[in-house]
Amino acid sequence: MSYQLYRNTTLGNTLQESIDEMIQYGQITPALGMKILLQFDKSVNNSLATRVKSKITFKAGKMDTYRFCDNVWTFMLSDVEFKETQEMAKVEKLKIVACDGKSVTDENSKKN
Amino acid sequence: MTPVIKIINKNNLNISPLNLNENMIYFNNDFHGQEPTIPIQGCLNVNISNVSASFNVKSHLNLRHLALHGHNVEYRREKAKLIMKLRKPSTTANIWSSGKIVCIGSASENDSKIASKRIARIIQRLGYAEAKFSGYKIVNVLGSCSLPFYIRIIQFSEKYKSDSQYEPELHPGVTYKIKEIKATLKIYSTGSITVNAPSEEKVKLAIEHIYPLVLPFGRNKILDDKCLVGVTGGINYREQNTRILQSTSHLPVLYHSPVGELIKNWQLNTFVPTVDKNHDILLNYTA
Repeated sequence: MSYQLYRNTTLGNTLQESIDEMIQYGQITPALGMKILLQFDKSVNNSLATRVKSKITFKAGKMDTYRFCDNVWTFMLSDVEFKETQEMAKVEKLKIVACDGKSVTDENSKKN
Repeated sequence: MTPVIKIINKNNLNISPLNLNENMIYFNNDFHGQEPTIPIQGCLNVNISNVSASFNVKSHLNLRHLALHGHNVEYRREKAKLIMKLRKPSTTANIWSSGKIVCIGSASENDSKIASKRIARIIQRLGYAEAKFSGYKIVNVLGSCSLPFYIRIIQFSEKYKSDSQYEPELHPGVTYKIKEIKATLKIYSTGSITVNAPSEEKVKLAIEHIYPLVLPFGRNKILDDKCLVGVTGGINYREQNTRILQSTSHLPVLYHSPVGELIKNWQLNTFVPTVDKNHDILLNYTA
C-alpha cells in the first residue's frame, strides 16, 4: 500500500470531488471509486520517485517546531524562501511532512 | 595558598571574570626550582557545562499521545521513550511511559530545575491534569576549569596512585576520584580539569581539593611559551574576549574586554595597562 498523503493535494482533492460526484449520480460504484483512489496513490508515489528530475532548494528563517512520531517527521517552518534557478517564492509558513522513503517510495514533502 | 574559586554558568557571561580582587590569586612561579618568573594574576573560574536531573510525574503517560500533541518531540518507539526539547532554557528531556523523566543539558542547577518544572507543566497541559512534579533530584553536574599552568600528569598520577588512574592508551587525562564527595576529576596535561560531581557545590569542593595537589606539578606556561597567556579571565572569557598579542616589552598580553572595568580592577603595579584605539588593553611589564 502506498502513502495516501498526496490525496490532500490540489490534484488529489479535485479527483476525490469528481469521484464523489460520479458516485452520487450513480455513474460508478463506491468500490470502483475506492480503486481509482488507490491507483492514484500508487501512481503519484511512483512518478514522484522516478519521473521528477527538477530540483528546488529552500531555506527557512526559523523552525518553529518539529515532531517525530511513527516514522514521520513534521516540521513547521516560517519565512521560507524557495529557489529554482531563476524563480523565487516566499512563504510565511510551511509545514513539511516527511515519511520514510525506503519502505514505499521516495521521501515526499507537501506544502500547506 | 588556595585560590578563590568562582562558578560561572554558560548563560551569565556578563559577569566580568575580572570582577573583584577576591577572585584573584597570585601564582608564585616557584615551580620546582625553575627560575622565578613574573607573578601572574588569575582567578579560577569553574564553568558548569551540563547538569542532569531526574524526576517523576507520578502518572502513567501515553507517549504516542504526547508525541502527537506536543511540540519539539521525538518519539523513539524502539527505545520506548520520548525526547522533548526546550529552547529556553535549552534542555533535553527523556520521558518514559512510567512517568519517569530525565532532564539533561542544563547549564546550571537553577536552569535544570526551571526546565524540569516546565516539562512537567507541558505534560500537565497535554491532558495529564493529575501529573505532579515529584522526586526531583540532581543526578550529575559536569564542570570544567582551566588552570594557568601545565600539569606533569605522569608524576602526579605516580604520587597519588591510590586515587588516580592514568592510562594514556585509553584516555589522555588522569582520572582522579575523591570518594568523600563522590567526585571524579579528569586532569589533563594542559591544565584543564573536568569534574563530574553530584552537585555544583561539590564541583567547587573538588576543584578546591585538587588545586593544592596539582600545584606542585605545575609547569609554567610563560616559560614554555615565551609569552604571557591571558590567565586573568576564565575559560569563557578567554574564548570570547581575550586576544594575545606581542608588544614592545616582549612579555605583555592584550586583553579585549569592557575597558573601564578591567582598569578599575587591575591591581598589579608591575603591569601598566594602557588602552589602544581598538579598546584593547595593553599590559606593559615594567618591573
